[in-house]
Amino acid sequence: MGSANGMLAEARRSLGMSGRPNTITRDYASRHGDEFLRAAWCDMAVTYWARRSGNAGAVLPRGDRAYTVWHAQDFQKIDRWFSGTTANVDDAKPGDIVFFDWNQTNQVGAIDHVGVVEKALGGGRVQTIEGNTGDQCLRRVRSSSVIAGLGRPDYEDDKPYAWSGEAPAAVLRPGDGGTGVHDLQNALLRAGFQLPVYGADGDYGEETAAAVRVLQRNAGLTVSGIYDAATAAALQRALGGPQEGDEDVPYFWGSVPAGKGRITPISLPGGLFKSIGFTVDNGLAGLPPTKVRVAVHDAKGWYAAKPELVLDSAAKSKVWFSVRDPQSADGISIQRLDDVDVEVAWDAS
Amino acid sequence: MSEHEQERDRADEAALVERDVDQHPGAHQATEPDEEQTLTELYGEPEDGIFSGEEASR
Repeated sequence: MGSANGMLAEARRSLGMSGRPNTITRDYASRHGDEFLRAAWCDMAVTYWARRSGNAGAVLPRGDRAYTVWHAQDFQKIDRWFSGTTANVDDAKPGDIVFFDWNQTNQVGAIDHVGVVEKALGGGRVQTIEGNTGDQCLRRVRSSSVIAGLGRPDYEDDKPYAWSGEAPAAVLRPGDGGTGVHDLQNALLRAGFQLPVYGADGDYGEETAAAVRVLQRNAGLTVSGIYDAATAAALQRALGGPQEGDEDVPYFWGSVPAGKGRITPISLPGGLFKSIGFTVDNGLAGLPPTKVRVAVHDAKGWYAAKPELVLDSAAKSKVWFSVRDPQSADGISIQRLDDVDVEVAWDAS
Repeated sequence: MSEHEQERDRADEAALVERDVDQHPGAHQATEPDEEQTLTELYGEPEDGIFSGEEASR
């Protein structure tokens, strides 16, 4: 579940990134083709931050974008577009997507650059984080005179919060905020750890870090105060959930909806899965085999694990493959290659 | 948008990015004269030219 804070935390991690190809262009190219490896990457950066922070649905209402005009039009189509007037810029929210037109026309068709708002400064100005500004990711200060408009993502943290009851999967560290931290704090409290002053406030401050250190010490882990995959497993054990080593129990599972070209990102905690398996019931339904493309993300970036995986329940009940580095793999993206109307189920363990 | 249009859009996107995105000099330079001063006040002195610090009040 995403948040504006999570989006900005991901953008901050890219500050100083430069040159191309880079992590961001490689990520986009892994799904859309090598012609993007050296292309202008401002909107690829927004796409990357959104996907990595669990905000794809809010920031990319019609899917991945590298072309800024289409991205702005996506926000117009869902009525979450605000033209670049001084008043609207003063009302900008952290996490808004800011689109630029250097000729002061406020015309969507003239937009050629994009970033994310980190702070509204007043006086018709915002402070942004932008990819591909001077071929780097930098903080900038921009005024309404060069802002064509703002897209306002429908972030989850704008909605009533409800804890899922699970330890969060994402890696979290001091300074982070948002729904993931809120989930972590609720899980810590449920597991009996103490947050006596601030409680579950959504900010990963010293109190939360101290509770994480206690958890790590109790579990015999490296005491870092950073909530990583091993800590997530320990917290899930403390909550009484599935444990690594349980036999015949998938730790993570879900489904991939039908729809040609549809991409379903799956965030998984690094180090807690070694392989993923797929099943379909197309044989039962009398449908032809379905095909998916599987990309895996790890510390080295995205790679296509299976450019084309054929799934056919009549021939094989489950198709498995193993990730190349179980310790660092932390995400999987599945793209439907045909429009066979059958749900693909997956489980990872 | 039909599936045909979606496929065509995907094919066109790379060409449109090449032609239109980040072409103006404004995308690559400061457009506010006090940008460096403002960012220094917010995040402290830059490291290797990058304002990567935490906001003082955050």
